[in-house]
Amino acid sequence: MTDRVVSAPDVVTPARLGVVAKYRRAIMRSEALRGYNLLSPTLLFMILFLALPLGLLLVFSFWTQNYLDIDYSFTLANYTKFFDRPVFSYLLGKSILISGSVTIATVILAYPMAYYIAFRVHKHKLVWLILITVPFWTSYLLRVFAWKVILGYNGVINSGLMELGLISEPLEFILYNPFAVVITLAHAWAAFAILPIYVSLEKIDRSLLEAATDLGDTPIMRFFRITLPLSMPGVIAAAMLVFIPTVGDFVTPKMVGGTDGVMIGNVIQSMFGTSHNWPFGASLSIISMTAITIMIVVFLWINRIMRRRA
Amino acid sequence: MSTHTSVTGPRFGPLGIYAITYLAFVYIPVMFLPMFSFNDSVFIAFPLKGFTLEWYRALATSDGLIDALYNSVKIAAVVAVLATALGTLAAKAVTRYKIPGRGPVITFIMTPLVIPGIIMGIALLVIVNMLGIEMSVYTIGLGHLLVSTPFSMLIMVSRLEGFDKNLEEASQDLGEGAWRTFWRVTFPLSVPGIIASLLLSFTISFDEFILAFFLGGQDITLPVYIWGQLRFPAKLPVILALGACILAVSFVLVTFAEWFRRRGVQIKTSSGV
Amino acid sequence: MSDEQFISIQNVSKHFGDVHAVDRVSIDIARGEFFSLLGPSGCGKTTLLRMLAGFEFPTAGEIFIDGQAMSTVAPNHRPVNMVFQSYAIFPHLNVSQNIGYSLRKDKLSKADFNSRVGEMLDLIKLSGYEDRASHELSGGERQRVALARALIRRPKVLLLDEPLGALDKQLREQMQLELRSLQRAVGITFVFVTHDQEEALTMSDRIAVMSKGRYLQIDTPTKLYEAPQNREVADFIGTMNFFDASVQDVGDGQASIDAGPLGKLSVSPGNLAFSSGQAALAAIRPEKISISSEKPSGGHVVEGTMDAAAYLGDRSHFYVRVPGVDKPVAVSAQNIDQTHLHGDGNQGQVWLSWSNDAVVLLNKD
Repeated sequence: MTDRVVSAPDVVTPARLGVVAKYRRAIMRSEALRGYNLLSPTLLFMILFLALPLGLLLVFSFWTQNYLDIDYSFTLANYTKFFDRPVFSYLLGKSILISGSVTIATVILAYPMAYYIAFRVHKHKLVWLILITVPFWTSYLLRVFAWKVILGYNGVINSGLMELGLISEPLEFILYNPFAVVITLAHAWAAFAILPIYVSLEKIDRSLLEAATDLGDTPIMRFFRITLPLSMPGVIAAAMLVFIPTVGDFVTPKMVGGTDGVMIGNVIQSMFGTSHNWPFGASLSIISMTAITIMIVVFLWINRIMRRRA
Repeated sequence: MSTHTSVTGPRFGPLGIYAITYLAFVYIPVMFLPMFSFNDSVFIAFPLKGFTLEWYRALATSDGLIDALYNSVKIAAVVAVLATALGTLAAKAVTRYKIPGRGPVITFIMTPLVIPGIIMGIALLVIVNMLGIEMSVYTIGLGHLLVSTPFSMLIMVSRLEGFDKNLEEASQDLGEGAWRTFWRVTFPLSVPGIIASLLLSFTISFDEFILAFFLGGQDITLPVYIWGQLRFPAKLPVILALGACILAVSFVLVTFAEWFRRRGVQIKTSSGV
Repeated sequence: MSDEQFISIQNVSKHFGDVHAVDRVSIDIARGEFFSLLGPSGCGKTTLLRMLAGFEFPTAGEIFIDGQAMSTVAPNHRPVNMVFQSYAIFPHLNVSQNIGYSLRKDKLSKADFNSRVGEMLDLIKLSGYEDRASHELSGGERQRVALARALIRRPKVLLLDEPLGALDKQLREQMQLELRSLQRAVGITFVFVTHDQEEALTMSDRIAVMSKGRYLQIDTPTKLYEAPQNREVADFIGTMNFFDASVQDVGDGQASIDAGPLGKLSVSPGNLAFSSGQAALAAIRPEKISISSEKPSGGHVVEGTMDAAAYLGDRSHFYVRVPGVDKPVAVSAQNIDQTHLHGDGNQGQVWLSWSNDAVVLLNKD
């Protein structure tokens, strides 16, 4: 019987263990060490190229641009400049307003769609999910470009309407304004909002809904008392996933926004481009990120209060 | 599923109409690009003037296009492999081991998903500049790796959660070490996720514009090339043709990726055991 | 190393943060034994089993298997194999690839591989299933494949983690008998984890009853049932009636006790130590109490009133109120001639009787 037995290494008493053996023993005994061992390449990469650069950006924002050189003395000059010139806070405020509108529009439009896939589609969920997600992965630049093609002076809408004889002159107000930015962004981020909402709807135990009906709720009451509250985590995730990246967008405003549609991202970009004032660009980024964070904290706080009241 | 029909509703009600409209809203704008790329006119406007392949022919002779394409493919391929490797390792660590600080670690790795692209771009630009590294395809790849890794990790986490942790333990119990267990059990069971991650990371990198714009220096990728050409109205139809090609490639890759990814997850939830 | 200490668990603890999943446990398991770890979920039995397999390492203490300390031995180098609760059948491999999974290192020829796997398939009575995909197997078949896969290299110890839990009742009872005879046939030491006391009693040579990370008693099934060492074991295994009692006199292998409403009894204290005047518990199994509607002659007799009765076909359960006892006394009787006790709303007088050796004396608390 013993000839096939799996062999085991010789017994080693702890006192005789070498350093390597001690490390191996520690690794074997500790799940945490084994986990972090596996995690270390990814974590190290993220620390080096995410945390470190963001930290450096913060440091940079306290320096100043001195013609072609950087003045490395610590100063709040960039920040005072931001608050002294109303144009920057105006642009930041406008960016937040545009992103906020985009977020609200996207989430409201996405919710029924997610609801439809979660509750109405039975056999072809996979097909629907793929249909919804695929455009999201494709080129952002091209999706924005498509709207320039649609809304342009000689674009799809204007030429189409003229062809149909509904207008004689191209409409000028449809491109190069904040509204064009909102609709373009809402389209570009549509899929991003659907997925988290769908996931939270799909997770809802269907028997809860049956219980609500059984206890006398109409479908509409049931939606507001059960479905909506339980899908709130998805709605919040969707809102954040749309809001945060759009605040800093500079592609869409540049393509379809015109002068009225300029957002803070365009200013930041120009600081790293033609205006060549990296420290001020860095401080604009830090201020924008802080503003975004404050907005999110306030949003989550309001949501918590609402939930407690419900 | 059919036991809960009382809480579901008709498939083709107002909600169904809404869903179709929504899909149209998502797809139709994008479809104008391929449509006008075959239109025999320099102006992107109705009425359509007739069918032509002129713009596609012009693509082949465009200056710098081949270089940009080559850069994009090279970066995307390397990023796909590296992001999938990093994502898989991290996913295995958080799904298979009880590690302290699991939540914060996951949040940290996911942050690139919620940081505006421009801020990631300039942050990397600043550090690359301070380290005196010349900007090139490598720095673009670095940026793309940063945004692809979280997606890869998400895909791999759901894949690894989709099969019993005991399977890996059983392999060890039956005499295989960590490395063999990975190749004989974990890897074959993760293949759909790995393919999905490779395809998606490739597409993310291939289509990414903002980071490539900031970090490329003299090296340009396809999206940066397009951005540069947008200044010349006469070149728009050629850009439409290029865009149509990129969309077609992305659609195919992503459809495959999503199919692999979601099919895997569905198998897990439907088989139960 | 002796055969009695084939597996020796020495003062082993396992802490997960503040949770002491296993708390200073020492158990010796003999070569060839069918040993069960029995207890409710969360009692530490599975953690102990996983420490034997090498998936968890003890916070303190040491485990020896066949004389070898296991603290530096990874799972893949241990002479043990495991049948998982979920069976962990590899879904991407067919039946013979699953069973032969551990043969890779042997570099067998195709024919040798097939014959080794074939032997195991014979053993588990699944010959002809070689090429079945794992998802084509029923629960019972999966369980057999998991068993064959774990046994093919003849481990020194086979670990089984609630392997019958997922099966329906009939299949489970059949598998209990098969598993027991399989263990006798292969002669391998089995360590079996279960929360099902009947399962443990049916199959095991010895059982460790576990609770809150410690074991309460290790004994043969008969001893556990007939002579539990404490109230928790008596309560966990089967049903038990407890009566407050005080020890009056401890003699040679006998103790006189005053069990209040039950009167004065003379019982065997087993291997527990009692002293005169000490408060204790007298415990009697329901089936060791006789019930009748007429007063029997002789023996210990007490009068009560019927509280509730349940008819179970082959036997009946009665709950009888006895003056001076808080809870109704449970009585289980074969339905040979007891049906008259089931009359509608029978609130009548009944007589309970038992013999001295039916009484187990336990420490209070």
